[in-house]
Amino acid sequence: MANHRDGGIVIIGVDESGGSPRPVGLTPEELETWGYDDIAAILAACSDPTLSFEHEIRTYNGMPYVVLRVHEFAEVPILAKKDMLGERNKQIIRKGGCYVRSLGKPETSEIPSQDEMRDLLDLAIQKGIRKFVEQAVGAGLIVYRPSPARPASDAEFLRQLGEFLR
Amino acid sequence: MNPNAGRIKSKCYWEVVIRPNDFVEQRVANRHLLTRIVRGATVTYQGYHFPHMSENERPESEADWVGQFLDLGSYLELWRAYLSGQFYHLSANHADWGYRHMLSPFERVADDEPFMGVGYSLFRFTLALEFAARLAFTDMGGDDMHVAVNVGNLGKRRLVSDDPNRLHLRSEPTAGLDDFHFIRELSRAELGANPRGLALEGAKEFFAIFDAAFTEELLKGWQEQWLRR
Repeated sequence: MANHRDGGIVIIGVDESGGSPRPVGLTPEELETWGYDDIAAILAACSDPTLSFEHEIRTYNGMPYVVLRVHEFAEVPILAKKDMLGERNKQIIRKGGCYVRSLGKPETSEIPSQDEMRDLLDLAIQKGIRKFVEQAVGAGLIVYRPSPARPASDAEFLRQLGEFLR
Repeated sequence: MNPNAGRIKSKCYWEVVIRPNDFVEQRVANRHLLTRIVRGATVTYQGYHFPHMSENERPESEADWVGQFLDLGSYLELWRAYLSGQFYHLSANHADWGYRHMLSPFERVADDEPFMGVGYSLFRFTLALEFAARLAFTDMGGDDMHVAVNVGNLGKRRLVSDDPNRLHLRSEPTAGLDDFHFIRELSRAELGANPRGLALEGAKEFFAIFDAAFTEELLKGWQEQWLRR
């Protein structure tokens, strides 16, 4: 999520084992294990740079859910800082890996193709340029020059939109 | 008129045009690249995408454009991206197609009464201007950019407080014009440096046609609140 444009939302308390997601909520014991500090400590240990997120507990049909709003990376894409093992010692995160949301599938995986890699690089570059522009404008290094009030090529653009305009 | 556009324009609609100021027929090399640019610039705030790009359906395309039409009941939307760098987005005003907004508990709105929410409008301007800023820094952008947000078929609808934690708008502001146009010619830097500020400017001008004036601080707070809901 953090390597995805605008980040994303993770909802803890949804059962996906049957194929389609089913809201089941968390028991009080489970909820206790999903505190902000616990999650932040785990994420800080396995992501570099540390990713930032917001933590919220919401109730639906009387059951609590943890909602994590994961922010898009600030400057450079987030990489895995260490290996992590899941059930039956199966590796779920590889040290040095770069994880992204797959195109067209609701899943996170290591960068699966050149398309996802290019998208991520483009995002990082554009963020860098936008940040530079914001700072340069703030510091007065870029001064706005007036744009032409009515561009000469207006007619060509309007012709393209002919079928939409009344 | 394009039948999907005609359907959307049969009620209140939001129309956004973003383009470089100078026309270059093939500013972007090919349509595959157009799809990638739009996908990369798509704005997603609170689960709402601008534009909606379905990954399950291939975008439609013709010689010089790619685009999609989406019909999800209250979500009616179409967009087109042209090789010239022009981007066109047309979407229905969601409340007119049955979307239930959370309003201030003090607002009295009849079931079939058309209305426009303050927060919703702010959100629409913010999505459009942020997308424009992102687009400006891609191959679809230019040194000088043209951004237009048009809201059509307003009728005599009321502006309402669409926040359950706020009071209603006591003066019951009503649209004095049927169509509203916010048009800016901006340098890429100006657009990229402060899209949210430009969105506030647009929303302020929009609210003025309802004869409603809000302070800068109030609108800024409302905008941030919508972005963090």
